[in-house]
Amino acid sequence: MECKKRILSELFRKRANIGVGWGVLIAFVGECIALSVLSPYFLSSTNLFNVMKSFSYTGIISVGMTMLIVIGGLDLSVGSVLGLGGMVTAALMDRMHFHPFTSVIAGLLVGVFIGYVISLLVNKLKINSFIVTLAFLSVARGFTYLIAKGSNIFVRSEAVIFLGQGYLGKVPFPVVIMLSLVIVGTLFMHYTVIGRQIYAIGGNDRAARLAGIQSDNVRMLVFMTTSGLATFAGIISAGMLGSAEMTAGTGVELDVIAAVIIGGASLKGGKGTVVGSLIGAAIMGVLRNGFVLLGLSYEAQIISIGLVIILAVVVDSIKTGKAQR
Amino acid sequence: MNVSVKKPVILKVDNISKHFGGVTALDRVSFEVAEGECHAIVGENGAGKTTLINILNGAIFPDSGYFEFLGEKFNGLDPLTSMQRGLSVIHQELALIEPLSVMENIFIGDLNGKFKGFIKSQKTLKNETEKILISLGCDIDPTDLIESLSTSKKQIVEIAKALVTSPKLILMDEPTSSLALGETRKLFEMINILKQRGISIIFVSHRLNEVKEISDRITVIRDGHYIGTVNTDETSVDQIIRMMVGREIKLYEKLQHEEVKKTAILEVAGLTKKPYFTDISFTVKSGEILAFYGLIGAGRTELAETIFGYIHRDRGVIKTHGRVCDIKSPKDAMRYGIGLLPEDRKIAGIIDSMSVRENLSIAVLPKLARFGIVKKSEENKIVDRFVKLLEIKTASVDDAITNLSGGNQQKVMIARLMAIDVDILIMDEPTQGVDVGVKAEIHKLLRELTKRSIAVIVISSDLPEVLSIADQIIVIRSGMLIGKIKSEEATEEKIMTMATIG
Repeated sequence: MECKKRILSELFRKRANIGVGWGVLIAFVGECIALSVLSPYFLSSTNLFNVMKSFSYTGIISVGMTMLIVIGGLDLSVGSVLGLGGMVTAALMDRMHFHPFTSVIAGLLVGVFIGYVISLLVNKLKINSFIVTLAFLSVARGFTYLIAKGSNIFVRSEAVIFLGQGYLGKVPFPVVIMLSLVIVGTLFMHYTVIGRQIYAIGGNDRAARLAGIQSDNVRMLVFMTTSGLATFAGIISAGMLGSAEMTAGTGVELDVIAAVIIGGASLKGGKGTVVGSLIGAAIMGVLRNGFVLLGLSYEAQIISIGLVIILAVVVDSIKTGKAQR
Repeated sequence: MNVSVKKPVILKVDNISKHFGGVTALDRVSFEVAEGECHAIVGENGAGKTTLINILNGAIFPDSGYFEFLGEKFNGLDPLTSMQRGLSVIHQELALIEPLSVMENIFIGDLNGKFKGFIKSQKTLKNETEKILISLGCDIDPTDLIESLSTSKKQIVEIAKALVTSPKLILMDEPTSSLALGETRKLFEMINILKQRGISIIFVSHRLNEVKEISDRITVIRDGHYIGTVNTDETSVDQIIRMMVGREIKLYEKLQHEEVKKTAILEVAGLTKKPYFTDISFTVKSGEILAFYGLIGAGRTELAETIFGYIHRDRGVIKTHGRVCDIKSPKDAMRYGIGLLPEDRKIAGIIDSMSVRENLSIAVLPKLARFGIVKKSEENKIVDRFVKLLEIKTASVDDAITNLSGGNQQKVMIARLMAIDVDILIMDEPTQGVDVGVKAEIHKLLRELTKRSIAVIVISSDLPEVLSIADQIIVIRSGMLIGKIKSEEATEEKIMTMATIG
């Protein structure tokens, strides 16, 4: 009996760091049931995998963005950094004739470096990350155009194309990458010291620092992870399309932030889970798919996405309001 | 124990009750406030003081009972009417708008000039503000921004703001909680001025010595029940405590100092951080309690944060166990065995999005991990041990820290530091805002700590507390070390003189 109680309480507790809120889960399941009734094609494995592939960039970047929002930061530059990462990798291969492996590593390093610079500005100059990353949204896109020199660059490397178009059994490779990163991210947030410190810093930075946490270093790591994942998504996108496009990733930052917020994170920091963000991305992905399957207009689709975001935040504020009372 | 009064009664509270769900916050509370009287209301945390204040200022309605103010009967009021009838409230957390000037804050509710919708001219605002401030006997420039003022001056502005509506009764909720003794003196002068003008004061406070000094009568409530009203002249602090807790607590019992081992654990020499403090040197031995006393703003908190590495020092040497320490961050300080219990628990201590367990283990976590991965069983073990050791009252360690009472939250903060095995513990105002019972418990805990030969440095504005717990007292004034006194030789007068007179 005592043991059973303990297990239950442990499960309940874990939900705080691993799982998702019931509201989001019910919304997601409800959405899927409704769609499968309305369209028989929805539940086919081809369609399901295509849906997952369609939100795989959002899912991949949201692993980093979740950590960033939990720590109390925000990154508006991920869409542009996505574009830059794909462009750098493609340009190195196509124009400089670098080995694909070296080019991919270089692309990733560009992302990590941008994250490092952002974190320096945020930590040392105490500039709000909203402003810094808003600037980098512009800077990174500018560099993308600069490198592209006016035209998209084709990707011919088999390996990079596999990243975007390959399959592992029946599962598209981007989906494999996304799911692996979500698992790693979840374990990281729940089981490691740094994961716990991220929640502590987001909850109360001053208290965390007085408890001996070097919050500037942790924040740097999180910014570097987020930007790094954004370039990774950019390389996958270049592989998927067979070319690095100058406008790739435009607006992705809004999708990613929306996914994290729908998933239950708070912009105040201290709260949020990687799995929640994945479900958030899935809710939007399935919604888009549903509109296509049902032949509804694109306009109705984007309006609905906006409404879902508001709904998610309203439900959350009602819940926390109750908890406080 | 009701005492009859000669002056006219301006506020009569009659049998007021209030329930929240199944919880009784107030149960048939009655008392009277006379004109020009300072009437103190005391009670432990949760006794119902806040509920009473909220009913009087119209934030909530009572379930039954009524009150009579200036001859009018009310079941309840809304905040605006209560202000218009002449009842002003000064809340514990000051409600001033920092980036605005003194005069704009004072007239914030009444900015309308001759032309409706247009703000009074700067000159009118300034003149009217000066008039009010002079009547209170103080010389703040009406055009100063609030953010540039000290806490005590902000409070004066708050009082001036209350006077704009020409109140007959001012309710002050814990007005001295953010003030040091010298500043409290200024507040008391102000209260006396208000009394002479026939304005009544309701003074809600934890600090019984102050209540004893300033009030004419004291009403005690306990667990929502009215216990009694006494004339201040005819009572003692001990009697008030008895009424508040319903049992005897010897709060300021002198700690039994045991034979102190003579090894110096912490030596600080010539520590300087401009503009906060200059050339501070002292030594703490194991099992000893050293208290820093000084007015707020004397540089005590900054001194603690500098020793702890949160603020970078300009110069000076810190040695633990005879070895020079290179402390650049709180992490370094902890490695040398120094822990800091921050002053404001809500701002710098608890992480309110986390559970009791996570709050307790956050500092020790890196030690409980292998390859960066937390060993849960070790974490549970250490958390359970300290919850038992410090008798932290919580239904489960997985409860949110915010569900705990202030005193228990404070114990979690102390446990957080004990868990990392510190042997030097700096506590900045450890008993601020906790009630009498918990205060006694924390004092007992301090005694336990010294038995484990931990050296404790206590920073406190509570003079009786300093005198009763410390072995050695250091007085700081404007960032300078004024003197060191052994507790046997210390008296309140001696320390106050050192802290206030230059």
